[in-house]
Amino acid sequence: MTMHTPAPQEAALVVDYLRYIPLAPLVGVLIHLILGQRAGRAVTNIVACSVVYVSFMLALNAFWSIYTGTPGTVLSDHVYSWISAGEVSVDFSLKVDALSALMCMIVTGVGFLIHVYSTGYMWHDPDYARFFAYLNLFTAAMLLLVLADNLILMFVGWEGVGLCSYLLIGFWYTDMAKASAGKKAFLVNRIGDAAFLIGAFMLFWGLASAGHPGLSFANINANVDALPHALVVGAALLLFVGATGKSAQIPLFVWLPDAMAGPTPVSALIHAATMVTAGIYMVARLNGLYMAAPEAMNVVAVIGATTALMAATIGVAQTDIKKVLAYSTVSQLGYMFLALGVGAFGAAVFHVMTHAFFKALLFLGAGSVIHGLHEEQDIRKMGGLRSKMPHTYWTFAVATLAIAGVPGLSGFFSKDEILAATFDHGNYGLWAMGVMAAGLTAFYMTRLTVLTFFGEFRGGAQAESRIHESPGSMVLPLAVLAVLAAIGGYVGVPHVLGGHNQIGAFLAPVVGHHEFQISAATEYALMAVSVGVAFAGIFFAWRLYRRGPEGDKVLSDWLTGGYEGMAGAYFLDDVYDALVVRPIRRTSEWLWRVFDVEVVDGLANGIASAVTNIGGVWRRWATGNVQHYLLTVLIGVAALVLAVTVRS
Amino acid sequence: MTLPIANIEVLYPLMFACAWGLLVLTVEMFSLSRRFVGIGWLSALGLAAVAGISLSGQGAGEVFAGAVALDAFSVYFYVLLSVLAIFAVFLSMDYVPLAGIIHGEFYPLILFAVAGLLVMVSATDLIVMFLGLETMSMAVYVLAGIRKDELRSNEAALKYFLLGAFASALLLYGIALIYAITGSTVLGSVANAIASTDYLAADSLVLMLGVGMLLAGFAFKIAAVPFHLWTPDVYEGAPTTVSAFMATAVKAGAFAALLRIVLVALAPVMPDLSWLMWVLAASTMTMGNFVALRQTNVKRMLAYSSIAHTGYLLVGVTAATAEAGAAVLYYLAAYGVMNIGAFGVLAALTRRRHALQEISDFAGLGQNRPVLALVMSICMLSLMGMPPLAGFVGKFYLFTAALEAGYTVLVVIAVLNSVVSAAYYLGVLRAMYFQSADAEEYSPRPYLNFAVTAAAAVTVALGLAPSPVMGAASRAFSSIILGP
Repeated sequence: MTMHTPAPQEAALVVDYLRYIPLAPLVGVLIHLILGQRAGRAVTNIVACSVVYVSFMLALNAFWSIYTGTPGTVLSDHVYSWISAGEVSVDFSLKVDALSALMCMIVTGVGFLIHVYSTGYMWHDPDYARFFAYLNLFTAAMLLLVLADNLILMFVGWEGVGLCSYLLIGFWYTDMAKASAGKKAFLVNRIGDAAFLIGAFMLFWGLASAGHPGLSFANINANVDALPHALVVGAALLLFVGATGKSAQIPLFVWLPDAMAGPTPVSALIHAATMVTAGIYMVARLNGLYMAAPEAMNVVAVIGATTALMAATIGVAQTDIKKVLAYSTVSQLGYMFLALGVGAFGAAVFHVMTHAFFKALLFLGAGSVIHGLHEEQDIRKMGGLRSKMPHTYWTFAVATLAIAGVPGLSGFFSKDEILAATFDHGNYGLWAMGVMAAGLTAFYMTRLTVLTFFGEFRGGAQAESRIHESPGSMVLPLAVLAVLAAIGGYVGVPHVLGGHNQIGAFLAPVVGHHEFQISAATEYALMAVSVGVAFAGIFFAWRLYRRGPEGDKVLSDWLTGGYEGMAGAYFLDDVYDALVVRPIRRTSEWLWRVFDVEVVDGLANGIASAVTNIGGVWRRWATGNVQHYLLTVLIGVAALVLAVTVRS
Repeated sequence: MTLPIANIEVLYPLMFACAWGLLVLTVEMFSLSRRFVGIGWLSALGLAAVAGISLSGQGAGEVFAGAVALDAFSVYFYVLLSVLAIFAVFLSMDYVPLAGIIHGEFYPLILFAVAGLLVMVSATDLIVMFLGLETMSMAVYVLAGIRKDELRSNEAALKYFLLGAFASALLLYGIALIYAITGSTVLGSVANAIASTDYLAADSLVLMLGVGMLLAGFAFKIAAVPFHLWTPDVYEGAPTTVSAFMATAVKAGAFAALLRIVLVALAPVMPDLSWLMWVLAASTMTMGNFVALRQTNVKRMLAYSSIAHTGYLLVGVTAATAEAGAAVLYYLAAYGVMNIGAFGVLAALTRRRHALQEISDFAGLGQNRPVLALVMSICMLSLMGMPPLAGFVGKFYLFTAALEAGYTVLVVIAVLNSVVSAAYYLGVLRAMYFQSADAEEYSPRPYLNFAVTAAAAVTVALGLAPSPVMGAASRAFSSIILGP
């Protein structure tokens, strides 16, 4: 069993610089908006990167205060009282504890690297000022989400990142499909957001009637015992539905693969490293609430494990380099939810961090490939890039080994902790699903790397002559991330390997601490299983694909119909279209026919008969829809009066 | 000189508005310019003075034996209505010549409509309220049809007039029935009569019939289902700035009267009617949002959006608590400015005598007119309920108040509705930023640009710092006077 000790409440240290962490990128947005293209490329690039750098330094300062302070130190910055409703007040207050300090470091650190990379990637784009305005705005919103000390202020950032994601997915709007991908992402997220809001309202109402008004995270976690159990479970589940929207889990993950239509740095920043982890962050933030709702925790764990496995199988059959990475992200996010669901909040956040390193690196590497190949994304038309893009190859290989779980690299430590915690929790079925997903991860990532970088180039001689390695501004962030992806796991070396799991200890005051009940021998055995599975995945993928994409044929023959389902993401888009989109459209159509009489057509006829005097209008009235309206009003009045009088 | 009426100061803002309307009308007769910009300035000045006088705190209380009251509630609406009317005037100063409106009466009519609205929101007597309503309506009927050579404008005016007359008749009938039971039209006496006698007894049928008629009349003015049918046709056909005035100021005035009369004066009967308000609220927002999904014409889309927002506001009326009442007041202000901005951008895109109306007409606006596109985005996002804008904060107040009053299901319906609404508001954003079109040449439109930018700025400010307005709204709602 996993033990959980509630976080001790420490007095907050009041500081006034936290507000500048999200404010700095916002200043960047204003500069981009006002100057626009007039500033020139160089100035725009420098402004965009330096505002994020300022945030990074401030975040580093905050992180240092937490790291060196006594365990449980909290920094808080109360800006002003935003909304006051009755006895409840929603404050514009920012808070940094171990959890948000770490998240801030990821968002600003990885964010800064991706901004630098973008200056190279977007060098040829004429609309660079708009791009960096959106990217800075995203960073500001994400930092607000992370720093908010209450659920409603978090929702401001939550919606803000969604809006920026929408604007950036559709950034290259000349392609109609890309604009619709943005709309899909936004609307699917709105469904999640509605659940989030209803959950927040339930807590708001419940806490107010229990005599503990307020939606600050501290208040929710501390007073969850005062609430009826059903309300706690309901709110936890509703908030989790919100998390499945933002963090692309079953049933709301369908938008993330489509979101790959955006520029690749956007995929790296928003759809891999930061925004999509918001749901995990939120659940970890509300660990007190979730610990009090074991039913909801089980749902989280099951959804997480199922998503991890299902998305991994889809990833095996994709041919677009970014789609493979997108399903991989969905799958890895599933791991994080699995960790949350079994109460291993620290392990989930650890994986958020290592995943930010290797997945951002993978996306940036993919961007470098796409850039070097002049917008080619089909891995069947790649191959042999190892010699032509050596820097990209080396960094990409490191990330592949890291995500595959090769011992010593970052992904090994975080994934292993999640699997061990799941086993420790006693849920062997979920553990088995996690292990299978780990094997599949190693398989599809090796397939991706082999098809891209090994063998012969398959895109034709003309394309081959134009391949080039990316410029320094793009390679440098790759190198930094490769180092992090390699060694980032050493902050979480488990005790059985002689480590101290510093990150677990660092996060413990916020998310609690868990100690494994399983023996060291069991831990070794689990480790051996996951390492064995990872190497098996790598081995089979290498065997199958080293001669080129014909391996897909072998696989699809072997899996027969199943392969088609995997390639088509199990046709969930069609299912949703039939179950949700079309019914709404039909209802709208029906209501429109009943209530919205087409005045425009009628008027066109009126003009055609060339009657433009008042008499014409009168005649239209006699034959037209005013009668219809009056009849409806009359029926309405009759119904209303009847309703009123019958009742009394 | 002392006038023989006690507390005459109460009427100063009202008297000033009427007098200023006449003054503007007179000045207009001698106006040489056919653009009427000076007349617009004069009207805006008068409206600002109305707000100033009502805020100056001269004479709070009642006048004419409790027919009109200048309580904090009236002052809140006097200021709100003046501000919204000033916005409408500024929008019109460029729009009137663009739309080819050649009648200088345009501005005095707005002032008279405002005067009617002022009477309506401060009346503590049913008959006086009715007078205000009719004064306002007459002015707005004419405004809707002021483009005499435009068939659509004529049709809008005629439709609004015919259906409006019907609604007035209903209201009047309702007032008569209430008078028959309670023996008074003064709100205070009506309330006392209902409270002191057991209204559930024999006379209840007639009383409830009266209340039902009254509700139907108000439902028409606020465009609640099923009395909303006129709204899209009228908003579409009327000059765009008149639609803006109708969607914001007229709706605010009607809601004010509804709150004072139904929610406060008829409070004892409300518990029996809450289920009915529930149904009205749910069906109004659902109908409005779902039909709006189908619109390709932005004016009609905004009309259905305004119906949907009537539904959200009715959630507050259903909850019927002090918090909910204050939330409705705040929401009317938030809703007012964001709609002024949205309609204003429509007006700003008017080509010569032809208002841009289709969503496709917004294509490429992000590139060609970045400021207008930003204003429109802010208004759309706020209407959608995106934090931290005014629309979100307003919904937050409304929905938490309804939750506290126990209307959980209604709040769930409302939140789901706001998901559906995102789809059609997003359509405008998508056209502006994800579609391209060639830039059009526009004549300079300084007043329009100023007004819509100001509206967007207020939308942001109201969202970031809601406390002053919400505080005023709370005080206003708790101070409602009913008269003796």
